[in-house]
Amino acid sequence: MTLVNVVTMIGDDLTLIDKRLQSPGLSDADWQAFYALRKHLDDQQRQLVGKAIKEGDATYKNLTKQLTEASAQLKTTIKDLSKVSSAITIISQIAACVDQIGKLA
Amino acid sequence: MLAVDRRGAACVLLLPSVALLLGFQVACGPEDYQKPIKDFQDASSIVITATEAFLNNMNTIEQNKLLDEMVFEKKPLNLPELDSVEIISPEEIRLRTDALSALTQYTANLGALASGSAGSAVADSTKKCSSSLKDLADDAKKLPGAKGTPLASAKFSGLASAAATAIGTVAQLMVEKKARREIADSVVENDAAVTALIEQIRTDATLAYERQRNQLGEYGDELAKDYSDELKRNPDPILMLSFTQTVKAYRTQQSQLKAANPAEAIDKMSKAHRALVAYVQSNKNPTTFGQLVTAVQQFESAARLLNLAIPEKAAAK
Repeated sequence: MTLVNVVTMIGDDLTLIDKRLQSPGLSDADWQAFYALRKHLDDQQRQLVGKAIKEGDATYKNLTKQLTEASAQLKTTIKDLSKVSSAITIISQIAACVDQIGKLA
Repeated sequence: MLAVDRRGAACVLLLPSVALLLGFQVACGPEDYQKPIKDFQDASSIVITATEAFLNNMNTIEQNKLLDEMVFEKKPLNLPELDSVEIISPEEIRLRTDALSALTQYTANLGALASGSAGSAVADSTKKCSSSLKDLADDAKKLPGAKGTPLASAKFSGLASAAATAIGTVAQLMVEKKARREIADSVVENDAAVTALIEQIRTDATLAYERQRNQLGEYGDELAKDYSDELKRNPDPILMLSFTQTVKAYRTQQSQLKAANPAEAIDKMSKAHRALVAYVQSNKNPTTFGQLVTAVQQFESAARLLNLAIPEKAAAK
């Protein structure tokens, strides 16, 4: 997976979060939690664009695998209002993964 | 003339129905390549304008975000600080759009080559495409910036230089008036360097598009929050009506942007270019001509969608 693929995957995750934020049903606290994570992920995406990362690195490959899995989980979880806290945990995992990828620069 | 007569006779003999005859006459005629090449050039113009706008907007988006932060944190307004936020410089943008222009001209010249009408003007023009790309590669080399980043000038310089050499090789054969087959073989052999440069510009456009897409999504989040907050108060009907208009405009922008990823249009441009290379190699085979027409049509429709979502029209919020 290239860095550009990672940037696109984060973009897809952000779109999923936007859909949740733009739908009714979230408490104010949950809305704020999603929004704060969204802002963080958005900042991370912007920073990645300016980073030089070795895409062939084994750690990079492992992290992108984790990112792909977490993004797939988010896709199914975020639609379900009864799983808000799980979705928040998954987004935090995604952000942690992206943070680790950024540190490979 | 004899060749034309033979070709015409072959068309008449081989095709049983009038519809098929008409179709093949289009492919057999001397002007057959001009329509798809003209369409390719028109679609390329849109892609170049859109790519430039999307890349420019990369800076505007981040500057607007910083402005929002300044306002939110009640900091003094610092316009020079806003200007200093630059993801991609105007010079880096120019290099990419100029490279697309040179590649478009090269593709058009291949069309002339395929039709057998590549004279000295086409050879000179191809040579000029090569030297333009060489200049762009040299200019990119002089630019600062970290190596290895997705937008690195060093990487762009290397790819532009390789494409310049590839096109230069083809141009030289044209200048020396080598046999059409020899030139066609050279076009095919050297095309990987040309498509690699298109691919790099596609990558840059992907990054710009992603930032634009996310910025618009965030704007939608804020709209949804404002609407929901207003509902919790005693909603002002006039304000609610105004919200409706804003949400409608947002949805229009969203649907236009969704359908107008410049990277997808550049991908279609690359496919149309490759279809033309295949046509050059096939020596006017009607099947490859049909594939070229289809590829150009697909490129054209992607460019039309892109035209609707050029960031000046769907302005950054």
